[in-house]
Amino acid sequence: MLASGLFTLLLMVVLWLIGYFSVDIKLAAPLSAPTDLPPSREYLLGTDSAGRQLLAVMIAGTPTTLQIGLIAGALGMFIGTILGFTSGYFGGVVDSIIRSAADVALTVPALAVLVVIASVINKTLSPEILALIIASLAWMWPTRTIRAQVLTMRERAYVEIARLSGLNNFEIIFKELVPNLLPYLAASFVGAVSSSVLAAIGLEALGLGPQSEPTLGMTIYWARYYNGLPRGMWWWWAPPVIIIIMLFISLFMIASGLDEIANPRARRTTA
Amino acid sequence: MTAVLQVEKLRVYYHTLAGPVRAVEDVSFTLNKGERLGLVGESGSGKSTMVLALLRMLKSPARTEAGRVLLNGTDLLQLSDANMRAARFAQIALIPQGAMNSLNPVMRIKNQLLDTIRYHNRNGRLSQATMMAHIHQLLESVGLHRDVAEMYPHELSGGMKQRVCIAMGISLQPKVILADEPTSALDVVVQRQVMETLGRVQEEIGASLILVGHDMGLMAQFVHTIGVMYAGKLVEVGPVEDIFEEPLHPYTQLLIASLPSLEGKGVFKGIPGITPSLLNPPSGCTFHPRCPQATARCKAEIPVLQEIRPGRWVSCLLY
Amino acid sequence: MSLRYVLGRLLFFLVVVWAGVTLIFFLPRLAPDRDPVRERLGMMVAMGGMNAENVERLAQAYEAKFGLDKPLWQQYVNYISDIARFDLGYSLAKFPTRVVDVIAPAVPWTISLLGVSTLIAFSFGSLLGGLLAWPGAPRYLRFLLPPLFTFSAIPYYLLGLILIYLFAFKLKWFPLTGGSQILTMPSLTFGYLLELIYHSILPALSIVLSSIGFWSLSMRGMMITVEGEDYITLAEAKGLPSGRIFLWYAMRNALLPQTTALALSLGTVLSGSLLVEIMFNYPGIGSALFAAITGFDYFVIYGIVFLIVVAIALATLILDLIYPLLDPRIRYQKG
Repeated sequence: MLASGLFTLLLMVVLWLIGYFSVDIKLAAPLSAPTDLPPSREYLLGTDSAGRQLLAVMIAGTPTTLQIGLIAGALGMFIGTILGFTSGYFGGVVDSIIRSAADVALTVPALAVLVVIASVINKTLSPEILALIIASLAWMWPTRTIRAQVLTMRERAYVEIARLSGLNNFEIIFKELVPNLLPYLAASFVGAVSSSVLAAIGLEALGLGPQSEPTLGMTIYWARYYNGLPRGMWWWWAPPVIIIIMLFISLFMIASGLDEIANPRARRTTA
Repeated sequence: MTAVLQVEKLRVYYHTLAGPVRAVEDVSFTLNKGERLGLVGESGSGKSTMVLALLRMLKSPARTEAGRVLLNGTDLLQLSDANMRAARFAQIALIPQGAMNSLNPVMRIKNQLLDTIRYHNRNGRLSQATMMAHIHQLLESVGLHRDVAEMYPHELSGGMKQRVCIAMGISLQPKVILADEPTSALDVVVQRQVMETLGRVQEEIGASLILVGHDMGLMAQFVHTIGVMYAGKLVEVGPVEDIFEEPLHPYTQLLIASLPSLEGKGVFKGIPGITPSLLNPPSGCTFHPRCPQATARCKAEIPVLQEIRPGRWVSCLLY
Repeated sequence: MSLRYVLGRLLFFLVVVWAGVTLIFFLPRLAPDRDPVRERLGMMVAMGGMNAENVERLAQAYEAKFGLDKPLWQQYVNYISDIARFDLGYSLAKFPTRVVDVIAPAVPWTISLLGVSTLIAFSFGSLLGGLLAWPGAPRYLRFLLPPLFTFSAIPYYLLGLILIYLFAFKLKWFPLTGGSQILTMPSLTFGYLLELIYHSILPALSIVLSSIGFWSLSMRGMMITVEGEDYITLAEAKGLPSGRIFLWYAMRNALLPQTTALALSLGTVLSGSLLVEIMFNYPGIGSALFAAITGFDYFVIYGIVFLIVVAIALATLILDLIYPLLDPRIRYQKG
């Protein structure tokens, strides 16, 4: 499972690299070609209603989307890991506060808050800022799950021994707990990236994404805006959709694979 | 004495990628009506596997390779699935280890007891009232108040849960009761109560009991016959007092010698060595690597369980 | 169910709503040296798209309501009291329509679509997931695993897009957009009802197909864990029929963590279905939100967001109160 996911992702990266070096990205800008052309030898993926060459858009936009997801996911994981470890390891009042905050933040639907923020910042939105916004809502789930893991691990024998042999708390966290949680952290990270990309695309499809740079979600937005669907311009919205789907499937497989490694009990094949 | 259960050359292997693990190897014994047989052995000696095998509840990769299990003349291993299901709990019942987790947490006790009765009595058409009366009576017979029926498992203590399991086990008045370490999770006081209860109800319904465990002291007080298992084989069977007074098999001797005595202080005597691999058992007698009385012959020849005296069976080349 | 538990969950509900509402209040004001609403008003005056008189009235209402000259905390208090009375302000784009009047017609559409889809997906998904983990179930079900995996990885709305293209555009089996035929007046006739259903099949299908994968995989995981429990062993030893063990011993217990998973995923499910509505131009909250965003109708945006927060918090509360009914260990807690 893990292997197929990584393979798919790698394949996408390779394809993208090929595209990057063979196509001029500037062609992703509006008015670089005649509008509304279906795919042809000259314009491999056709053009959209604003004159953008869609092949170039895909090549330029995919890394942007992935970048948003990676930044947001990484940030979210980072914060989430710190909070999760703190909460799970030290317990007590700190634990209660962090846990309650995370629970409340989890219940408030992320999209709602994101819409509010994004609708306000509209003009100056860049992919980086979008990533930051999403990250602010990506920390809760990692916090919760990491905390749960830390709680079970805290009472295990090797932690006791570490404590008895004089390691201080931070050393214990870094030398004993983190290494054991590595596969789990990796799985969570991939999950965080996945949901960040999902949130980013969701916002973009609503029209709240970065207006200046091409991304996958915005392409879908423009496609709908210009009524590409009823006009049968499948080359406009299908490529981003396919890329997104492949991306999600590969991320999902990677996460499942990592999850199986982290949790050997789930490694049981169907009964 | 009538034989209720006759196990003949039962063989259970676990088929792993590395090869067959011989969990139970050619085990044979007889259980008479009303008799209490205690099966002792280390962890990994095959006791629990055998219990599951008798109930035909082995899951792959375990499989019963050979043997016969005759319950009142019927070979359980040959029964159809439907008939085996009918036989479970009605003819042969299980009182599990760890009653803590053996009760369905979302079902009331009465429903879990009713389950058993209802599904074995499809054509019986007992009325609800009759069944409830039966349940209350069952609970009282194991020393529990009839209100327990309305409760959920998490509201009961460990000892109470174990007694509920006993009540379930006897609810259909089976001929054979299999008790797999029913008291290992309980403290000594409760242990005694539960064992007393178990013994009493067993006699009341006239069933035979196989008690699996590794607490020799408990066995000594409770059972009639002891069977000693080692590495999947039965190495000695005999009346409990005889075995304690004069253990014949070297393993049994070591076992009994290792029991701490209240009489004098001494050094703890263990049994040297570790449990043998059941994947690659030692040649000849499986005990020979650890046996203080092993000879060259023991390495080559496989001993067979034989009745060297009336009622005393040993599987050792010494005899 | 102890009073303490109920009060605890109610408190949580209020805290969540309060947090959401406060965020809605402060976030726009945090935007660097801008008040988007004022800016919007300015834009409207400049464009002259609206009747100048209306804009004046709107500006006055705005000033009066928010009393921007008053200190922040007082604005906040006014805001909270307004929200509590469900006074969500006026729509900027459709002045003088009130926000609640813009949102209200859309609500039933969303509830019906989301409710039915989630119900179907959750029940069938859980049942399917349970069967997938049960050794006694038919083997051919295993073939469903790969497509389920795939579907659960695709976001709802993208699946919707694909479905639109395939079934509405190419095959013309289903209508492209809308909740009903344009120009049809809603009436309580059977014909109208059929139309409603016809138009909602594709959107519902996108939600169902995508989430059924998630529910079944999740339930399958729970079932595998439950199957290792001792009470299943004893149930088998009792000679109970396989079906009974499956339903009452295994599924019944696996349902507990599955319900928790439902409660936690409510936000995602709702967000996803809103986006589906947008894809299909289905006249629910999603489309209303989209229209508000496109038209910079800030108050409507905030109003909808408020509604979403309350809805999710309420649904979580309901599930929290239902859970003890399912798990007697929570219901009869000793002390």
